[in-house]
Amino acid sequence: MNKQFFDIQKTAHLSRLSLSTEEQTRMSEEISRFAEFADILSELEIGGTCTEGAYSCGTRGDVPCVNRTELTDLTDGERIYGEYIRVPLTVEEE
Amino acid sequence: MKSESVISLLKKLSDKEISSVELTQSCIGEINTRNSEINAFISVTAESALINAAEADRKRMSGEPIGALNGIPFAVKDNICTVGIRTTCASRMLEHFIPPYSATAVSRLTSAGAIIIGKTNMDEFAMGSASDTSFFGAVKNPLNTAYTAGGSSGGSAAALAANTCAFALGSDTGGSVRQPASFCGLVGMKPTYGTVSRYGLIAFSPSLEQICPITKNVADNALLLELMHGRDNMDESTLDRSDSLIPEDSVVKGIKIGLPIKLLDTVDADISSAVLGAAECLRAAGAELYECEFPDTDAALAAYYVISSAEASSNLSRFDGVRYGYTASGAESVDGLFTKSRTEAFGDEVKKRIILGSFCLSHGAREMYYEKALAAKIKLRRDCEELLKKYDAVLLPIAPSAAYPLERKSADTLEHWRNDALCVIASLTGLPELAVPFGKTAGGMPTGVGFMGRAFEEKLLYKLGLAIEEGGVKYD
Repeated sequence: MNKQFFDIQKTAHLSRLSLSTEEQTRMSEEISRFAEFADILSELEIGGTCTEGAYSCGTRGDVPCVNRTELTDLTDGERIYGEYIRVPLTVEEE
Repeated sequence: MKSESVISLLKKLSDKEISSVELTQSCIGEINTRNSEINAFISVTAESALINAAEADRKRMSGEPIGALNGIPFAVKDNICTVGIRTTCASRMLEHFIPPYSATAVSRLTSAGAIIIGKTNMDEFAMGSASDTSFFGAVKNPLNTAYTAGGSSGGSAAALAANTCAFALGSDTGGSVRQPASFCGLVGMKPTYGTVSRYGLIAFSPSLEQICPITKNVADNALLLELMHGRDNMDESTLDRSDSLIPEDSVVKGIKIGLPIKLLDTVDADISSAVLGAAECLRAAGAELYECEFPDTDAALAAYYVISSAEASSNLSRFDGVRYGYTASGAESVDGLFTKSRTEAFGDEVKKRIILGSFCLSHGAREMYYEKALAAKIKLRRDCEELLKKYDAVLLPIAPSAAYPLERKSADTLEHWRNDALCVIASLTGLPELAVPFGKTAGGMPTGVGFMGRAFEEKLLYKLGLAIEEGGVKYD
């Protein structure tokens, strides 16, 4: 896990939650452990990045995809991914 | 009515051996006897249930047209909206919330004559797998109250196993019906995504969850799914399926079943024995069993928790102390009101998942986790499609163990979440999976097995379930 991304105080603030120091420590440890486990996703062979450069679907080129056809399915402009899912609101850091 | 199936009760009602009022009174009696011990119900609707039962009896006696479930009492998980009946999601946030409408799945069942007897306990907002994160206290397994009933639909499974209803509704996001059904010796089906309307299901992770029936046997389950499923204009993800889900027979001769044998190294011996026993039972009935590989469960688990937490952080943002639910007092600003209300009303597990989800969607982490999880989901779907080109279904464990003592729950979050690893693949891929009881542990608790199949092939899974039900060791 790239720990520079994870700031429990900032994330709790963005989530509209207030945590005690003890809760912050505990949740930070638990989420960091999970994030380290979830790094397995980076190691999966799920295709490379799109090398076409055109990104006709509007998706950024660094989105991992199975192949170009799949990338076309990731219609970022519509913010619809795949068949079912509407992407939740992105919480952007201020 | 102890241990009676829905189909058996319908026959007795039809033959006038019992009345719906007697049946409902029997359920209420069991609730009064058992609920203080097992904590399966958050709300009991005894008065309205008896009124509806009397009306069901009147209709039957007068010869008026009646629905397929006329007079059958059932329990509903407390994250499924029921008009006029408190629906809490087992959270302080919605402790006093009374929905103005019912979920489509509930309406279809009540339109068929079924009677709501109460709302069942669960993990808060369905986040958990032991039904112990509830604001209303933990659910206990009626087969042994020192043990968990599983979760998050543990209250529904416990209510049915304690004979307080004829069937129950749960919701399944990452195994929340299949695992508690298995822990309580019951049948649970997570159908193909889009089979049952999610309208009225309070959202946790809408791309994954489905409302599902929990029943005492396979035939009941097929009947209830048949009555609940189908297109609903209130949920655009629902499918217009004209096929019947009820199997004509339990003939499994020639059906090709994959058995991911390496998975059995990751589960308790009792569970491994149950899966191998079910395989033997199916082989004896003429099915063809083949050893097969199975997709990476660790990657699936990671993808599941990233996606479900991301969706939860977005969906639960509506609970702000203003529009819905609990409102904190003493806040000094609007922003402070949001934070104070959410902090006071959400439990620990919910807060953890909201924060994890917010993190996974934040700048920088989104690309590392959320988008990779979506890509992993696509890869899993393709892997499963390839697997199910070779086999008609896959036989696998539902959980690494049978129900475990409540105090043995791991304090380590990741270790506890690992209990979901075997169920999340069917969730992420949208494929149907049926949990069926098969055998017992050395300690006498029920063990269960799962069948994962191709999209829209619930009928075939029910057929396999019937076959092992007939050849298996029933849990009484």
